Amino acid sequence: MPLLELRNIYKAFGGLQAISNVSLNVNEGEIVSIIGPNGAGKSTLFNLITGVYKPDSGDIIFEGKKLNGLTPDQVTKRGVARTFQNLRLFTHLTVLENILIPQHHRLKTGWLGAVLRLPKYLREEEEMRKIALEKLSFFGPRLMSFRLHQPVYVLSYANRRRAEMARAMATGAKLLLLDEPSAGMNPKETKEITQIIRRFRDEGGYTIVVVEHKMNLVGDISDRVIVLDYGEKIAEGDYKDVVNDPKVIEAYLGRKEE
Amino acid sequence: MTASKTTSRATLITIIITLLLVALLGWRFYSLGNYTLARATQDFLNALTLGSLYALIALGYTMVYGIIRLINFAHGDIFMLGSYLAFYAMALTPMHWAAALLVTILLGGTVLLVIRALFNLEEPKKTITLALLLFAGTFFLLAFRHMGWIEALLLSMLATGVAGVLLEAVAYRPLRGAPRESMLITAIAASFFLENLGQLLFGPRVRGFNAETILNKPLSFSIGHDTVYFTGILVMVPLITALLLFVLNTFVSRTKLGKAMRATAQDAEVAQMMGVNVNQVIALTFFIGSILAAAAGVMYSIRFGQIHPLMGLMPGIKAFTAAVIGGIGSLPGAVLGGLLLGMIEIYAVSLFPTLSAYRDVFAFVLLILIMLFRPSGLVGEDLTEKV
Amino acid sequence: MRNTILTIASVGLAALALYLLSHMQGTSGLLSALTLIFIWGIAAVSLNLINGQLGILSLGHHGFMLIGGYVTALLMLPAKERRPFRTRLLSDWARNDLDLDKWLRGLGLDTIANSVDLKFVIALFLAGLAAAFIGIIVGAPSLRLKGDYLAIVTFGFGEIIRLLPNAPQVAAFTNGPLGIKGIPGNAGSIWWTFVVFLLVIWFFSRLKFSSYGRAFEGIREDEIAAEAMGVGLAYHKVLAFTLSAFFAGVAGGLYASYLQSVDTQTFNFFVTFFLLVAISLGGLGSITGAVLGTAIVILVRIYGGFLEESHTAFVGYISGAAVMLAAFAFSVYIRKSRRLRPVVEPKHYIFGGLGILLLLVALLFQGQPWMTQKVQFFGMRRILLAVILILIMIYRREGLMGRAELAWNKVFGSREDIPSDEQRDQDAWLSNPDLNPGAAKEDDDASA
Repeated sequence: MPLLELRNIYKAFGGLQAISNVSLNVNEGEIVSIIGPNGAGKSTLFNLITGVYKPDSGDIIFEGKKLNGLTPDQVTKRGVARTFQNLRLFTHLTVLENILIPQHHRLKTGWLGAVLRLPKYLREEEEMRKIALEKLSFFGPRLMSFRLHQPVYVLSYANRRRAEMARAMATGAKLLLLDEPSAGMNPKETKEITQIIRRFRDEGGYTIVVVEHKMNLVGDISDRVIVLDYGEKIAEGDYKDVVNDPKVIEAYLGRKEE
Repeated sequence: MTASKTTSRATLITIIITLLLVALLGWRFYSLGNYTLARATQDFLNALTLGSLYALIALGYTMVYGIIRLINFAHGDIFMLGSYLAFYAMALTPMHWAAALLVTILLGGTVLLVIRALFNLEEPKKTITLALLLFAGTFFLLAFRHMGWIEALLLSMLATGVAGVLLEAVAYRPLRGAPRESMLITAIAASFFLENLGQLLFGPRVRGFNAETILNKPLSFSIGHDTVYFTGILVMVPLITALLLFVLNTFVSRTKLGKAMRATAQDAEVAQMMGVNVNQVIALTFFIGSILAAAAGVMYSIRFGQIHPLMGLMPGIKAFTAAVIGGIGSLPGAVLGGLLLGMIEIYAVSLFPTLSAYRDVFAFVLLILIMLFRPSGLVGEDLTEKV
Repeated sequence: MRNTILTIASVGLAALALYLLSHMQGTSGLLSALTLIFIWGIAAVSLNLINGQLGILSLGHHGFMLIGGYVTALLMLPAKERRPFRTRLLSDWARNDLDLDKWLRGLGLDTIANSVDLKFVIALFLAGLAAAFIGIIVGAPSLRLKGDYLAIVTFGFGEIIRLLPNAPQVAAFTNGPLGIKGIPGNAGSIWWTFVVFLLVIWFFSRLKFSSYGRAFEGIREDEIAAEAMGVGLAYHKVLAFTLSAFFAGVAGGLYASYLQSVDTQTFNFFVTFFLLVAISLGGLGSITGAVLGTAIVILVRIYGGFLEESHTAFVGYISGAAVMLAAFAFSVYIRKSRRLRPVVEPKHYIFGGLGILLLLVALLFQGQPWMTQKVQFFGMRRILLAVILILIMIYRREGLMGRAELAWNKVFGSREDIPSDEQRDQDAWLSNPDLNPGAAKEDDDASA
């Protein structure tokens, strides 16, 4: 049974059919890339999976249960977390707080217990901190020690991207949806991100869906590539097969005039 | 699919509510027994007048909201200011010539500067003509005779318009681009400032507003066996309102500045890139809104015969409700909402006299219901923050 | 550990100071100022939870305070004060049976019923609960709105709550516009307000630095991201709103008991405005700031009385001129220090010109009768507060404290976000490839 399954998803905005009849499977432990030209519906697909938009028809099934109709926070609680294309960190909070907030939904103590600092709450808080440090340590010492207590707005752009990935992991999700993880990064940082995404899967045990534009990153990490164009799935398969598919070439470069 | 489902459900609910309301009103008309045609006519006149006044104030709210997404809390106090200016214009004239000269220079000068800046009067010839007209007119009005209500209305409209522009320049313009919450807080502060300044300058007590005109003479005509009693102002307010609306409509739809205003309301940033002077347009919006509020204020004071520094509070809130009912940001919506609210208020009190204690509560309830269930109002588009 | 000891020690010192003050002569003015600071501090801190930490503008706080005030008043009213209500609007049930004393005796808890103080605590708690209940009713439907729409809806609810006690159908409980008088005031003494104030500060600072507080701040920073990270918006917003309403009710109860009376004018929209000035002045989101702002605003209110005395019109003109010229100088100073050009904007000439004009008028007509007549400067303090709020919004939106809190660590200068020399070296080594060519090479190898 696939971890995530999309069945015949349709979504229209007014008269614009943003997604039409998209079905796909993501198996556990896979890294799947979704590519496609601008406006192909990649980000819409992410928004549909995470509950920001509701599909007009079709089912989204995660671990055998439907995700349709759930709010974004409920989807996250089920185990799907995402990063945003245009960074949405909690800018004025510290790095540590940014990684603690996504763990809040796992807190079992109520607000009164938290205010009274019951031993149970203190234990949970300790646990949350441990997990936060563990997630941040994926990125080496960059976000550790004094950086933990710095507000996010002093971080470099690349560090913010890293922090956002750590934040998504900290939700306790099994499935990570990364929306252009290497946007705005230089080649060296992109290489590093490639390494890290692979380590997410190998060491962290996550299943990963990536939306990306940088083809060398896609080729490096993907087990499978799915190509969208005008809201439709036009190709799926191994990276090498997909990039040689005439339909994909046409979607990216246009039809050859003869 | 889901969208169409919700729309049809909303339509169904609207129809049901309308039917219920009609049934309720019918039952009420029937059970009141003494509700004659004459009384209905009288109520209608009252409702039309009140509704026109709300509409005039609501236009100011809706225009400002449409352009800078600010709920101008101080608008009700601008309305109060207009009433007081007219009051003093009528009470203090004729003035001593020196005082008149001083006021003329100050008022005329400020008005001239503001109008020049607002309407792009670059040519010296036009400016000089306008200046002569302004100074001579003001001096004539102030120095020679007791001012009548029409002159006071016009003078107050001009002066209040300038006050609105100054308010925008001093309190709101420095906050351009600030979070909307900060702007709203500033507007609330400005409202408190004006209310208390009014108490300080004009005194906190209630004053009679006796415009001794034919407008206050009791008039009557008969329908069937009953007589309808009314005063001239009840006829005058809708007429003046209609005139002002006509002028406003012509300005907004025909002139270049009006087009700039509509463009700014659509998208201020793009309008700016297309060469619209957004600051000027915003100031102009405040000018027009304040002019209309002053007109409403003067007529309101004639209608109810008294003024006090906190008089702008409830009409302000009700007019804002009217703007929301019509769909905030939409000009026809504001007029429609104002008239509707006037009708609702008058007929509710007339048909259900026990409810008169809830007159003010009613406006708030309506405001909340509209905000919660149909924030786009009757004709407007949804201007709530999009994510 | 050190911090706990310091906190306890400073609270003890404050209590000692209060004790000394209350036993000294001629400090009653100061004591009532302190009482008011505590009461309004509670209200400001609770409003700060929504407006500052959650980042939602709520303008209905006066409504919740009013509910708390009325509930406390009705529950605490002694039997002999209830009797005169017979001739007024209060219903029999409200007059005879809405009495905490009676309930407690009915439950056989005479010891509690005999102690006014204990009764007061219970009444305050019930007042808070009533306000919190209304808070849920108001909050649940309206909190899905955003921004100024939400502000207006909460404002509408607050005003409805304020207008309702006057309506005949509700007057059976509220005695209509006459209000309720004769609430025992000893229960609202400074000690009670002090203790409740400390509890509230403790509660809110614990809440702020808990996982829930972080969730609230996450919502303030970015609602969409917070929701995507599993923070349920509806639950957390309603929770914060309800907690805030609860403590607003408590503050209202304390205030009613301090005034020994309550009517609808006690809690008008000015109350919310006043709190808004206080928390904006202190810094939205900071508990310390809310208390600091409240203290400043209360001091203006108590010791600003001289502003509203009657003076001759001449004094009015002169001080008006002084204010205008000061405003002119201030704006020029600000623009200069921020290096804005032009240094004097055209609109600033309005202030300067008006100032000079007022000065001229005052000097020219010095002896005239209308210049020497006495005028009461009614409403000067409110004008001052309004001007302060506008100035904060324009020039210093973060207020005095920003979002920072007073913390012992900061007092002693130990900050975790500033790297030690060692950490700084390590950081430089990480981020500068010239310093660690080996690491960069490693990366290349790995990707190759």
